[in-house]
Amino acid sequence: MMDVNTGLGLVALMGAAATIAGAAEDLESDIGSQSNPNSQVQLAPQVGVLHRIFNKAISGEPPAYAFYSSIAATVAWILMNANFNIIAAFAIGAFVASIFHGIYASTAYMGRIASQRRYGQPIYLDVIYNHLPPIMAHGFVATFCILGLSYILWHFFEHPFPFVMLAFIWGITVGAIGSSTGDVHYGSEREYQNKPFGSGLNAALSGKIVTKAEIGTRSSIDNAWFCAKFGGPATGITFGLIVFLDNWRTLVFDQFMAIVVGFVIVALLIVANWLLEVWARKSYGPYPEKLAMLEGGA
Amino acid sequence: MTGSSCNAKAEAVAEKKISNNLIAALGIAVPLLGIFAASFNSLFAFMGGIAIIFATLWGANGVRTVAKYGIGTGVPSIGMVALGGSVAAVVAAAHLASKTVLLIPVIALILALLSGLLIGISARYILKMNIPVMIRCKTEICGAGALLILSHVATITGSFDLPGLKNVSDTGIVLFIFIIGALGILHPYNACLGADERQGRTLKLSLATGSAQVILAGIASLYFIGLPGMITILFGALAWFVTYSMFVRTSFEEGIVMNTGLIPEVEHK
Repeated sequence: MMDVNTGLGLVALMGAAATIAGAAEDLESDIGSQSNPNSQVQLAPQVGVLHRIFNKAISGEPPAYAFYSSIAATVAWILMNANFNIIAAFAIGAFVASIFHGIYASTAYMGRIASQRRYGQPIYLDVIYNHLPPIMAHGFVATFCILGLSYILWHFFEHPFPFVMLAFIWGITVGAIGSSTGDVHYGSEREYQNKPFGSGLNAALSGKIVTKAEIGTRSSIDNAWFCAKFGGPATGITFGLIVFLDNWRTLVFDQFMAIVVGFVIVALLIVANWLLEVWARKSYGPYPEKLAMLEGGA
Repeated sequence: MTGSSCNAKAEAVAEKKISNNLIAALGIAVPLLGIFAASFNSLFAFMGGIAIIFATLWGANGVRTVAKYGIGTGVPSIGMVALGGSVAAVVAAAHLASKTVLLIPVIALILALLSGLLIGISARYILKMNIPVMIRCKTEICGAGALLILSHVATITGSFDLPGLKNVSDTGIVLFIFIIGALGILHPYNACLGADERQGRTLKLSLATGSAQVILAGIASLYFIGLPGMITILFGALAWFVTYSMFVRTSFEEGIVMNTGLIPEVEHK
């Protein structure tokens, strides 16, 4: 068993890798309009709002990231067994995963937009050419980091699960965090930038997403630029904290205390979230009056 | 900028439907033969690739048939049921027929169909999902899932008996099989979802996702059976190139394709 200092260093490294993975994952899903905000992009042509936004429907984010991570982990694991350099094995594994990511993303865009022919939504070839490289690149970064943190857990901490299984589980986790944390920033804030935030979305506005940019037409790459300011980093910090705190408590405390500390951390987070929400409502609410001011213009 | 081709006009593409029974027959017969052939000799492991493609075709058609009833965000969940509902069937079959290995795929198929039937009946009568094809499709999807798992195991390890299954589960490859199989089955309809979805195009995509799985299974098989895995990869790459090209061509024929341009004007209703 390693000493606690080395262990803490490795846990910190895992947390750092998880932070980068989370940020890259969220930005990637924003470029592709995957997961929750996808329903609005899918609905837009039906309500007469045509767009130049990428429509990447590869399941939800959790299964999609389990898919990329397990492909990358399998390839990397086979290469590691063939005595490849570990970092090179990760890079090749993540590269293979990003190729399959690109293939599935392209079929989703072409398939979904071709199925919207009756609404007049065109398949833009330049949207495919421009968006696939950033989608694959962000996916590569996220998958590479997932492999890194799974490897630390498997090799240094001697986790009983096989490497591929750990990567699969962390893939699902990063997808779930990206879907629950980062999507709000893209879905509610960016897609409905012309509507007041925090008021919920009127059903009549469904599908009426913003399609014009600061100059010209909005593309999904603009969305990554916007979400990189808040949604992406927030997702990264969330995932990084989960990985760090969870492994920290099991490293520093023994079995029973680790469970107690886990409960304490969750309780503290619940209280902190509640205080934050109350503070936010007091500072920026109450919402109905703000809404009247914003919408009524009087 | 707003050429006649990109005006909003409802042009329903003529539907030429392939019978579900024909696809089910192909989806049972070809994977069973492929699984047996793949376990015969590791040089024939690529035959398991053919099994993967047809099992995916059957499963994807099942997902399409049931999800046509307006299940939008539920498409991935329905696809996941294919593999989730059949994992237990495969393991049980491998235990039951550990003496007569050749019976494993048949018993796994029967058990998976039964578990699918159970899931379908629960969805129809307990959850009260009012979809008439639910029971049939759940049954079909689980059957396809069982054959898909066995096809993968046979392609990757060269056998489909209990030691083969143990090999893939000990190394964690079983989860890799689970997720690429589930995405292979759910992605075709999920990616073609929309008002102008057409069976032919969706099934072409299912052939492409099936072939992509063959490439991945070939890569994983390099660890278990060594160089013959390269034959699987090459076969999968060839099949993927042909089927992906077919899908892209069909999508471009059925969609409105523009190289670039601003958003076209639509007549507001």
